[in-house]
Amino acid sequence: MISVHNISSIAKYEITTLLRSWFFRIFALIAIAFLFFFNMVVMVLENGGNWTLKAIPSIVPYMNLLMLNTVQAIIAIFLASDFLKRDKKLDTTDVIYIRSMSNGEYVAGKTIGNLVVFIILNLIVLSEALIFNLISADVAVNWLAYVEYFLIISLPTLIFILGLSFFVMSVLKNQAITFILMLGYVAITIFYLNTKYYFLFDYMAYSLPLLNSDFMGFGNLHTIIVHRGMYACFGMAFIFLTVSLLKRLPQSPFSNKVTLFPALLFFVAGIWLGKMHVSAFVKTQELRENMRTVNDANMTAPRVKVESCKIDLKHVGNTIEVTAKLKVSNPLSEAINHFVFSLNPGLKISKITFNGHEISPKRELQLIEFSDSKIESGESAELEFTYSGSPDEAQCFLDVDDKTMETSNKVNMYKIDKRSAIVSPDFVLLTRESNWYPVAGTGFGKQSKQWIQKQFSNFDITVTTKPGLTAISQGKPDGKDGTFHFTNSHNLSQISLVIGEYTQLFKVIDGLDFNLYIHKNHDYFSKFLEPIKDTIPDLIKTALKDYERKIDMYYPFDRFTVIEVPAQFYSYPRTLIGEREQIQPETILFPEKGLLVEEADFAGNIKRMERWGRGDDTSTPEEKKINAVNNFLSVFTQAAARADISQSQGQFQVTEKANPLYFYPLFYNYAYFIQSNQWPVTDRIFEAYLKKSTAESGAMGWMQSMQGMTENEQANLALLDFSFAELLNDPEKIQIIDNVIQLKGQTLFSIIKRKTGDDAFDDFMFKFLKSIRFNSTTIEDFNNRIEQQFNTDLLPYMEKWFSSKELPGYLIGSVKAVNVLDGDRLKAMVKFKITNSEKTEGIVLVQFRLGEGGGPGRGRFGGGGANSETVDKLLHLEGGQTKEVSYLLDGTPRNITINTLTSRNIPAELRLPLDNIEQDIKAVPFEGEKIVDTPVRIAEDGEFICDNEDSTFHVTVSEDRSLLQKLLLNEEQTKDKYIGYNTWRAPRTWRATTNSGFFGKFIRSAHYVKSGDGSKKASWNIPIKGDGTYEVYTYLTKMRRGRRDNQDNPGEYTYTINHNGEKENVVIDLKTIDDGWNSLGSFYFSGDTVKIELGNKSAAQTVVADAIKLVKQ
Amino acid sequence: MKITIENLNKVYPNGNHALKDVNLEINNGMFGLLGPNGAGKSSLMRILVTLMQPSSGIVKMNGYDLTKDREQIRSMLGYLPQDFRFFSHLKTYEFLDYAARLAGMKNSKERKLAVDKMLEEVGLFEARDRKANNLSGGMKRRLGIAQALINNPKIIIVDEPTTGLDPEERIRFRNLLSTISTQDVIIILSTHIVGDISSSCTDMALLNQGGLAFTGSPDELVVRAEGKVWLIQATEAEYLEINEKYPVISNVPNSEGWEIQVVADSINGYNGHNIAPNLEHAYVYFMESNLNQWTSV
Repeated sequence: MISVHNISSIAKYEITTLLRSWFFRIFALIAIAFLFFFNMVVMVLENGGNWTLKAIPSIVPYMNLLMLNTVQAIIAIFLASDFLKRDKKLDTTDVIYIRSMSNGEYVAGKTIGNLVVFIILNLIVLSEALIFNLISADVAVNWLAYVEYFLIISLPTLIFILGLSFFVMSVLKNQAITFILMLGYVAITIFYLNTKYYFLFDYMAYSLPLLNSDFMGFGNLHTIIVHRGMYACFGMAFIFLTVSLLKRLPQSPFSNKVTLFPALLFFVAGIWLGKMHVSAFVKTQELRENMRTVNDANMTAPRVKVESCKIDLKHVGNTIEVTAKLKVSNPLSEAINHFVFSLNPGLKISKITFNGHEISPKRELQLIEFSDSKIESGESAELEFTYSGSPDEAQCFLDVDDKTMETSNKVNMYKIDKRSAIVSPDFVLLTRESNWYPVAGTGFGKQSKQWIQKQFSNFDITVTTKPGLTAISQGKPDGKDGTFHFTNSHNLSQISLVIGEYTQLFKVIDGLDFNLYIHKNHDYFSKFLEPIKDTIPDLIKTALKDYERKIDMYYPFDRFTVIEVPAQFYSYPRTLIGEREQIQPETILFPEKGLLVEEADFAGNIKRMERWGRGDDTSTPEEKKINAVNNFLSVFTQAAARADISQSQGQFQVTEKANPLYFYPLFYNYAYFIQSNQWPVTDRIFEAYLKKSTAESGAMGWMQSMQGMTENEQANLALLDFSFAELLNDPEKIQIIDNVIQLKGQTLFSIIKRKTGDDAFDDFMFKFLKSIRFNSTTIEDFNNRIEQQFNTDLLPYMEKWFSSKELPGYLIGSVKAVNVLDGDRLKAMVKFKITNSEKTEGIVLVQFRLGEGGGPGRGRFGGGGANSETVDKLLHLEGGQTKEVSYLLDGTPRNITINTLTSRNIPAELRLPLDNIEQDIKAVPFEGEKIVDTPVRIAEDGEFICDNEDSTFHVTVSEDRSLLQKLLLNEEQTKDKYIGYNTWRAPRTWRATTNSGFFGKFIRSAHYVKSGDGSKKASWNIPIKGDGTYEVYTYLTKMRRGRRDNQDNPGEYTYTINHNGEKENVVIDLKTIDDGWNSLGSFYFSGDTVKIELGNKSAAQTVVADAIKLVKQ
Repeated sequence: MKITIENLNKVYPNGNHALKDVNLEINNGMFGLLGPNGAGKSSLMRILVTLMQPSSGIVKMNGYDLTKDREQIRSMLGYLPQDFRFFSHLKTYEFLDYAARLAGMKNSKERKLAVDKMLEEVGLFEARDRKANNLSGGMKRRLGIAQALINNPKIIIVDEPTTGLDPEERIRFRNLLSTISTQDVIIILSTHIVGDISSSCTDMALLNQGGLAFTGSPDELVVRAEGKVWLIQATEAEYLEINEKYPVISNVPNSEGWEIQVVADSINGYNGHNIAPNLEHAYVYFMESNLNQWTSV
């Protein structure tokens, strides 16, 4: 019999002992203090906190326990190994060991003692978090989450780490070795194994998505229970093994062996759960691969056109019961005998009728194959599907690779599960991606890109759900008390369905039905925005109109619906599909409380505005709130989301991210579709052109300095080596494919516009789009219309455009700006000369920023400023052509940005300040361009230049990593050709970096290295013509990075000039340099090559080697 | 109560044969265990308190087999080891309460009374809230005695219990054990201090080199030494010789030289006479004669 008395006695005094351990006290105090400050900063301080940490109440206990878990894992290891050490060390242990208790009771008592101590620590931390949670005005409390997170984060971790530590200590019998070994294990699991093998080794629940939504709780409870259960089982197995290994004679001769049985049982259970965890992922992958195969096998099956789709859906618990009546037609010129439909494989079909007759078509996974149902050309038929079940999410995003699917959705420290389709008793979220209704044709397959084709159909949906829940879909809503009916006056490419406990806010704004559906407890903003509630409709209207003007398109729908959905709802950016699942026809699926949208934190935004002085101090509280609302609305009009910035061995890696809430798809993707069998990417090209997103990428110029190249520039480099067609098929280029599409789209349409004229083309496009709204058409149709109106056949050019590897390259002369009198008005005239020295034609975007204010940025107060205005000009250059261009501007330009778009130029953007523009009374005002014969030259006659991009430039190559880094860091050093300029973690070997301030023909780059002993040398070998005296110049740039300016960071470069068989050192003081060419003096050179070297010995942090110029005297 | 030990052997992994065929029967009362260092006393005691497995042999305590019925045997035990210095972070009261709990005292009120009473008895009540680790050596010893006696164990095994105690405490402790030994209990007392046994034990055993050299009452051992204990009045030169020849029990300088107590069969040639032996004399005589390290002159 197990004696509870014995166990509780041992536990009681183990607790007393542990609580008096200074190791525990110090670590616990550090943890409590750290979390105190963390909670204070996040929830209480007047800086607005971090919305991602307070938007959803469950995040408070989640984050607290996630952070505590790291600390307690270390303390637990120490204390767990300490109990066996204490037993060994303390001679008083004998008098405890001789007492009548089993070894199991003893170890159980010790384990419970350890656990209780940590439970106390958890309770303190959770209480602390709860207090902050309660006193924080804008963070709700999720009481249950406090218990849930303790049970799923702390408890399994503690049981596992205690058990493992007991076991290792029992085997090794040395606390120091055990401690080091266990710390090593912790480090390996955190830094290496953490996300690998589907988080299998993530015993601390670092990577396991655990966000608890107010809508649906944990969306992945099964995964969580299996994963955490696995660690609890392994922990128990180790604890039972410890009983067997305890150095104390058991109560009976066999009792130690008996404990091996539960140890074995728990091990088996742990392994079983682990296998279940892994196999869930593996099975999903296999299923996805099978679905792709099935799609591939049927990709060529003719596709019927779904004219209308009438859905009758009943929501019952975790399932839906659906009857879908489809009217389909044959759009082809011949009869269709064999066609396919796709339906999520999780939905089981009970009945299918074809023209009223029940049939039994073959079903393989998601595919329903109609082999004996003939539809004549131009004829239609009626299909009725009856099915039920819950959609299998494996069906979603088949075009997304497994690695991307497995990547964590990480926000701060915590992870959010990624859900694509949800059917639960209280919440339903279904989009077209989950194939919850029958769709003609197949989904993604590897063999063809036909799957991206869109059909526009008339949808009608009736939804029945339990009382208290609200169903939301596209169309005019009707009905109540659990039954909802939606009818549409026009065709749609797809529909979605959301069912939940919602509060609806409705307003007709400018003829549009605006609906906002929020979780019944999530109205955190109404009270705050009460003073400006009458203004909000105008703000929305203005924002919408502004955006319509910006893209020159009208909002096509009658309704505009924003639905708050669980934070777990996730979508992936895709290559051939521009829209994200967050945007549905006439609908935006907005993440729960705007979790990842800082602008949704209205109060916090105002605090931040005030703190950073961005807000006008004289503005009223109402005006500040208006600013905050405008700022929030800008979330939907920005193409780019905040970039991901990571750092690896001193080098920044910036990953540009598309904004999933960018509502452009409402304007284009869900209203139009241009189909092309030959160039499936055509629709995306139209989308990119109409979005005018290429111009926006200029705002990402800071990335260029962070990591050496923007993704647009990387796309340009890729286009030099690969054709557009090749890049589209290269999975490794997925990150830059969007940039490639945008650049290629920009080029294509710029060329069309050059042939048709800007205004004429804009008129044409307006009419064209209007004519195909809510329908799809083909590129051939578009081409026919272009041909009819402009007598231009695009298709021959398309093939070249699709497969060409040629890019233009521009040489840009100096930019001159003067003020001139144009009539009686003073205008700024900006002139420069530009040469496209390559064979292929190209487009350059010239942008002027007028007025005053900060630089470009995100949001209305993120930069830019209300006084700032940009003027865009497009400039076309044939291959080998040189133009002198001149622009007249009404305002005062602050700077000019010459964006070379698709070109060999890196940086693609040349941004120059236009300071102190003076009046030139002799200048003649002129706006226009002139083709000239003399190209822009980078070297004049008698000048000999060697740039770091030239083959005659060399650097000493050395290892960039220290021995320690090599030993410890598994990750590869970035192999990118260009890296960012980083003074405090400069590379140990020469690396190339780009900057528009550097010298270069197309690529304005320089090499740089961390300063050192001078052994790392860069050398320029400059061919000269004839002996003689030459003045030697070096091209230098003041590398301004905030306060880290070389001017404030004195240093010198030492150049070695080899002349006349001698070596002469010339030292340049960086404080005295100018941007551009700086003289090193005149020297007599003989022979045909001059060698000049630059070592890395310098008092400056870095040494930069760019170009050397010799000028014959 | 009865403990029977049959053919008990203990061989350590390093080959040391610590106990050799020990056969012993211990009945109610106080039982003394004497022997030089390395004789096997501690090994025997650690086996008896179930801390160590014997290599062979049978030990039965009140009919319970030591290797099979540890649960029952442990519930009868109270034990004070020779080394009893290092405690975990517990207070005096807590440590005793911990021992009382594990000794089977489940009722908290009764336990509290018992613990307080025991602390009073061993003179630690005033130090009840002091950390056990911070007690003096003697106080730690007393705490050890207290935890061994808590909840009235039927078998009390104490190893060098009076080490570190002052004479007054020793007497008090001996009296305490003597009082307890009148009940139905066995107290096994292992000690170097012969006086502890002579004044309190009814039976005793003498261990030497792992073997049992003597069992019986202290008086029986003393009888064996009758006529073998001599008081010699010696000159300075004789004193040096005697020290070489005989085991000297005591030597006291006086005006004529030295008054020396020795154990020997005879003291031919020296000025001395027999005196009545005590247990200490008997132990020395027995050990020396058993070891055969001296010869009669």
